[in-house]
This record gives sequence, C-alpha cells and structure tokens, in this order.
Amino acid sequence: MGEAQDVVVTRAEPGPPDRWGRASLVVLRLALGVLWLSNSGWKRPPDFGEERGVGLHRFTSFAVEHEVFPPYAWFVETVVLPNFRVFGWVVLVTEALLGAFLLLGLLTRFWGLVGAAMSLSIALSVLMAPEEWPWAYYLMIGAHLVVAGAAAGRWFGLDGVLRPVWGERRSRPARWATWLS
Amino acid sequence: VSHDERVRVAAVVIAAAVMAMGGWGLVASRGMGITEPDGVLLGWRAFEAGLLTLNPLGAGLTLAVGALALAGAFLRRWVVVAAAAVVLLVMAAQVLVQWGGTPNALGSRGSNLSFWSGAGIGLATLATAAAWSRQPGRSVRPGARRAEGAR
Repeated sequence: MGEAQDVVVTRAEPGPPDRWGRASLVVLRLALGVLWLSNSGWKRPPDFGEERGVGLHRFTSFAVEHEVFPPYAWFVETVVLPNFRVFGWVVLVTEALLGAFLLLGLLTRFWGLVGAAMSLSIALSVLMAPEEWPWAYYLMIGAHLVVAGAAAGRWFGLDGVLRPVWGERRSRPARWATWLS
Repeated sequence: VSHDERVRVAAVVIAAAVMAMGGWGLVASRGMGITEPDGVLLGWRAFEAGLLTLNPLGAGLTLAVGALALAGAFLRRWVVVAAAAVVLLVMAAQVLVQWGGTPNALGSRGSNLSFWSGAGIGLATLATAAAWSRQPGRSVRPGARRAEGAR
C-alpha cells in the first residue's frame, strides 16, 4: 500500500489576454465603433422619415407591424411613435456617441452595455420584419457584451492611457471613470 | 515609456486620424461648391460603411484642426490641443443645428457628429490628463498601467 499523498490544487488566476487576444478585442471594438458611426449617418433630422414613412420611422414602426414582444410593441405605439421627433434625436445622439466612445476606447464598459441595450432595442423592433436575419442582432448584442465584459478600451484605447491618472485622483468623477472603464 | 509620452502618442493618433479624414475629404470634394449642403460621402457605400460627408469647407476645416492638434501634441502645448478639441466640438454642434436643412455649411451628416465629437472629447480628455499630471507634486506611478491591466 502506497503512502497517502496530499494533492494541492491551486486555482490558476487568468491573466490579461495575450497579444492575439488584445488585437482581437481592438478590432472588435473599432468595428463596432464604425458600425455606429456609419449608421448615425442616415437618421436624418428634423422628422427622421416620419412624413414619408421611411428611414428610422419605418424601422421603428416594424415593432408594431411585426410584433416581437407585446409590451415593447405597446410602448412603441403609445409612447415612441406619438413623440417620434424626440425619439429620433435621442437615437441619433446616442448612436453618434456610441461610435465616438467605442472608437476612442473611453469608458468602454459603460458604452459596451449601452451598445448591447441599443442592439436589443433594435432587435425588438425588426426581428420579425421581412428579410431580416435575427442572428445579426444576436451577434450585435453578443459582441457588445464581449467588449464591455473584457473592458476592451484598456488596449489601444484611452481607458488604458487614462486609468492610471484616474487611479491617482481621489475625486468622485475619477472613481466613476475607473468603474465604467 | 513614460505616462506623459503615452498621453502624447494617443493625442498624436487622434490628431492624425482627423487630418487623414480632412485630407481625404479635400481630395474627394474637389470641384464641389465650397459650402454645398450635401457633402461628398467618404467610405465604402457598397459595404454599408459610409463614413463622413464633407464639402470643401468642412474638409479644409477638419484638416486644419487636425494639424493644429498634431502640432500641439508634438510640441506638448496642451492648450493648443485643448483649443483644437473645442473647435471640433463646435463643428459637432454644427451637425445638430444644420444637418437636414439648408444651409449645412460643412456638408455634414450624423456620422460627422460621431467623428468630430469623438475626436474633440478624446483630445480634451487627454489635454486635461496631461495638465493634471504636470501639476507640482502630481505623478502617475510607474507600472500603474500594468497593474491596471491585470485587474
């Protein structure tokens, strides 16, 4: 009979991504930034397509015409469409800022989550519309969650440059910035 | 590489991107009216990757502001970088005021709002960080970035 031996299992701490991992995160973040930058180009004020039933108004109306989730369809029908110009401005500014902050890699965790929420909102409008590919929206949501979860702005992004400064400052905005990046 | 140098390199990259977009716009918009409301589209429409639209005035201004920011970053004149950032934010505000109507002095659209505001916010943030770390008694710990990355 052999001597009993204690086996010690240590939990390996995952390190930061290697070179290829970092490069992948940078490419993904920049691609999502270009996606929002490019798509903020066709949401044209002041009516955002309301008068002719085109553009952002048409895609938003799909939430009612091709219902995905009844409470969301009700919200769009009773709140969004009657106040469409306000909604149009909110969408335009949010998408433009998503493009800006994801390209910069600034406050990336926060803006990654905002991107996931925007993608979910778009999915709930157009998922059942003709000639849409639902997986495109699942992939959009997933990609934003990866960027947020991996804090992709810490590599080749301003989060990586500025977090040491925020760490040294004791102010509340600096603490928030550290938390959101 | 010191932290100050990393801040400077980041500002140079943003300024160079602004200059590149302005230069591209200047070439693409040649022959167009200087304040044409519908600027020329930069990017790749076939791949659904249209970027900014610019007329010659918008392109020239973008190029000039990018050059100003680049000079400021190279010379470590952070006031100049901050001034360039303010001009970029004013250009972004122009989109909110004029896009979709006439006049649209810079030939811009929503994508310009994203690009100009991003460049302005980025340069302003870097200028602020550089100014803060240059104050007497302030310094960013060496190796702090490596420790942050491991978190």
